[in-house]
Amino acid sequence: MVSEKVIIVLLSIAILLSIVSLAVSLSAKVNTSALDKPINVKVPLPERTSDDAVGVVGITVEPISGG
Amino acid sequence: MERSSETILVVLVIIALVLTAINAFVALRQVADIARVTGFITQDFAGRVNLTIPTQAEIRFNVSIIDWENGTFATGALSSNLSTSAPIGSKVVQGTWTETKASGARKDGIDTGLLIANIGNVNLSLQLNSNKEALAYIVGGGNDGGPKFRWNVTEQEPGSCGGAVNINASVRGIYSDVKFESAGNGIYICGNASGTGFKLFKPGPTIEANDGLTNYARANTLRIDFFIQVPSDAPVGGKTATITATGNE
Repeated sequence: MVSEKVIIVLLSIAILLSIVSLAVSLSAKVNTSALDKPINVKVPLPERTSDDAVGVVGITVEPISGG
Repeated sequence: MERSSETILVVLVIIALVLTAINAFVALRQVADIARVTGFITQDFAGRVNLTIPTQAEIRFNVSIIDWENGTFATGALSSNLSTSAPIGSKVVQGTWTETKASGARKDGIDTGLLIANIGNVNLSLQLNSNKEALAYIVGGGNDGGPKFRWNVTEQEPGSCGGAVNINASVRGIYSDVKFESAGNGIYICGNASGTGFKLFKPGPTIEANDGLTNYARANTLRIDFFIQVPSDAPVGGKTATITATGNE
């Protein structure tokens, strides 16, 4: 038969462990509040409202033959 | 067992049971939160995807070069006339130049002027500017009224400017002197500067007046033709003018 003192000691240890476990559980609570908020992702999108293009008109004038 | 020890044991057992119950409650709540994180579906959710397509103004000369190459004057001629809009065989009068050798990204051929296309996703007002007017281009010569350098604009594809009537009347199908203006101040040939009457692109088959140069796939191109008169006393050498098109939303 286990002595009553041993039972008391074991129960005390069990209680202490429960207290520690409870403290750890509460301190490690998952924060889910962020999940309830919109997730905004801002990607800079290039916008162009103006553009240029270049063309060329060329001609070469040669001397008049015999001139 | 002594009476006092019994009491201590009962108290300890009660405390242990209470703590165990609280512990279990907290642990189960934590598991419920973790279930949310890991994506367990517990109810229906409405989803929404936002997509923004930015304005992209983009123009391109599909034919970007008009090159008459080398040539000279017919014997006794006071000047030679060259025109990109004249029929093939008549593009060079009183001269020996090659009928325009046009080239660009999309089209090579002799029967064309410069072709400017709106390849962006928004309608645009279009300005034209040249870096030289006639005298600076040909660099002198006084015979037959002196040098002439002119342009006119037409719709290469019907509806490109919402109808030919919307092209600036000063260049609409008739030759007028090429203009050299300060940067950004070229002449508006399609659409306008202030946006008055200027409508943004609307999807659909209808092309409306004053839309500017549209970005419809089959109605987005204007043609710019050129007429050049070279006096026979003009200095020999290469002559080059740069034409700048500017599209603004």
